[in-house]
Amino acid sequence: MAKKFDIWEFLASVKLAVFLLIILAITSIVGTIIPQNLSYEEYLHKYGETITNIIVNLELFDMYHSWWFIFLLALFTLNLIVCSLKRLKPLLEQIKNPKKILDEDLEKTIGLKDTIKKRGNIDAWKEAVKHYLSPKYGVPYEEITKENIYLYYDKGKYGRLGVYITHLSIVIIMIGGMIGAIWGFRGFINLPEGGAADEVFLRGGKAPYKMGFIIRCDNFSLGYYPNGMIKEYRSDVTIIENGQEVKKFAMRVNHPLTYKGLTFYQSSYGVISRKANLRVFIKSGKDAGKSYEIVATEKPINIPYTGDFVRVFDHYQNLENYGPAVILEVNEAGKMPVRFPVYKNLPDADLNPNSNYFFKYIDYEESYYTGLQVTKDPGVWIVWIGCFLMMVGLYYSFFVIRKRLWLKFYYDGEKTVVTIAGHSTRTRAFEEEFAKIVQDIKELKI
Amino acid sequence: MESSIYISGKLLSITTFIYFFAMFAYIIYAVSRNNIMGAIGTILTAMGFLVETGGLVLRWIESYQMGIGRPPLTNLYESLVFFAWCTAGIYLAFEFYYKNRFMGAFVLPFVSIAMAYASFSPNISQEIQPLVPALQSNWLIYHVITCFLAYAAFAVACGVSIMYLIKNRKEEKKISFGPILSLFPSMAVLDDINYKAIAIGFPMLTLGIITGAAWANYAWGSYWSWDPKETWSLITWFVYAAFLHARFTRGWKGKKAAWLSVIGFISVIITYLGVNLLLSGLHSYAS
Repeated sequence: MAKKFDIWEFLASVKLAVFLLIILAITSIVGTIIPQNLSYEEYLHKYGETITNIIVNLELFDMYHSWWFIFLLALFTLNLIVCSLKRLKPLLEQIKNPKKILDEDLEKTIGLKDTIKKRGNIDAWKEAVKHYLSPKYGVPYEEITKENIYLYYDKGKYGRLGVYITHLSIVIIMIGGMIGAIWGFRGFINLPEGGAADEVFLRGGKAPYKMGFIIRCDNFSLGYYPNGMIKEYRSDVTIIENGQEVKKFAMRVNHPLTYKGLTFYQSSYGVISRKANLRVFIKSGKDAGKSYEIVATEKPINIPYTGDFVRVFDHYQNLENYGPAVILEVNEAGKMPVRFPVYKNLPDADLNPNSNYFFKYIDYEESYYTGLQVTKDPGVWIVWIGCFLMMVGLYYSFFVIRKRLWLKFYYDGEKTVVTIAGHSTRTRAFEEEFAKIVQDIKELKI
Repeated sequence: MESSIYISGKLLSITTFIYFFAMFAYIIYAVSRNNIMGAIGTILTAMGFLVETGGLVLRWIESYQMGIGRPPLTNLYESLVFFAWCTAGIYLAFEFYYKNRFMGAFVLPFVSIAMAYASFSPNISQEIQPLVPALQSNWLIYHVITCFLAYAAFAVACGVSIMYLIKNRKEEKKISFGPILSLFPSMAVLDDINYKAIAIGFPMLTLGIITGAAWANYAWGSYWSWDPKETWSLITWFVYAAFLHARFTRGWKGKKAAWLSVIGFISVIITYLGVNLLLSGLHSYAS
């Protein structure tokens, strides 16, 4: 029995909370230094065998999901729940049934206390003090006995619940996270322009997830700023369900598409094929001066009537501030392959002067695939509710401060005696406030 | 393009110098106890704050004139400037509230260093660049403002905690620091300022992490991915949470709590700068 009691006390202690917070802070650093989710070979290459063994044994390759980190989080959550439960009940009792009467016991034990004597009627003074205090401290509890009148102010009495709302919100966020981890998933779909898919590929070699509808990529495009920086990645997609087109959407970064519990994010893209319309001029030899229109692709093509080859290596929307440029790779017999840019806006620039060929940029086209990330997370709304509660809880904890005032009025045959006592969770700041209240009451007139 | 072509850049350069002079005025005040120097410190800090406000607003306007309108909160240069702005603002509010200028010598260095680093580091581009797609979101403003108000409040708390630790050391070891310490607020007041600053910083940091999570969920489909910046912000949150609980624990008050505040701010600096400069991750655009 005694031992069980100890465990309860241990789990309920704030000391354990401080200790666990510090341990969580220190251990969390490890995963920001050791790159996460690399392969065994990559760790071996980076750190050598001894350290790699430690990484594997302590699951440091995915440390935030390792058994010991989860254990720390679980212990932290348990500590927070037990700690809150232990303190919540007395606190609720104190909020619901606070001590409202300034009796001798309270007068003896309370720190902030003062007595003021006033000439005049007891009821008139009660009303005057009430008139002064109520705008600041709310409606008081009032009790009238044969000899005394008691007032009790309890401002911000729910302030201290803030801590427990915050603690509850952490538990709610953890539940939301767990629901997401168990019933949610993250996967991806790669769609070429014009292509469609009805399943999501999941990470970790799991079977693909059947969506129950089809998503088709109608077009992918890149938008640019005047200086050539990328302004937008955009996939125009259509959702098709039971053979019907049910939704069209322009998906961009920061503009995801949600349909039937799945959310699609623009996450990557790639070039499937490049097509450059060029005019090639022959500089010397038997065909000198002749030119041909050609369509160059990523695969080398023959330059007409020669044994030499050209292919598109890359393309830039704005290369070195001269505008669009295609990077060609020319392979001439007996020479090393050469890569060089051909600018659309500089039609006379020959940046490969040693070659027998000169190119002009006419037009360029490329086709893309779009990479969509697909997630399902039924827990995310619980997480947001938790976050909202956390802010409410923190607001109450820091900015709603409980201030309590007890007043006792009695008539000693000559004057009205006002005894005032005060208490607040924020002692230091309240001392000044209390002194001012006493001063103001002293100066009150009826 | 050099910053000098922007008028805002000139204003922000001037700000750097004003803050430096303010810092020296506060330090001279701390050593000499000359009240005029203290007042000069306050006036210069307020002036720097106003000029900087003008600089930030102008930079915003200039971005619209360039046809790429976006808030001045999107790269390392702008974030350092904004950090200095928040810290100077929160510092002035605390100085006004507590009527004590001594903290200036401990907080203004953070402001000056941030501005000097932003202005003079060759690695930091001052150019007004358009936003990459990932940053084109209203969450950007909410996320950056909440995070930086938190960082600024923590900077003030750190400065005050250093004062607390110096004073504590003096009282423990009976070391004399000459006249400097006579201007320090009492340890109880320092502890109170430290707590008040963290009471602003902690909810702001929490809001910063939440807005960051909401944004990440919206942009990348995951509200938490343990990327180094996220993790370090959580580490910072753990440290300040420990601080807040330590105050209710016997044996953890005072000195240890002050140390936690200092460690918390070191964690803030790693979250803010260290992760961008040393580690890679989703926030690496800022370097």
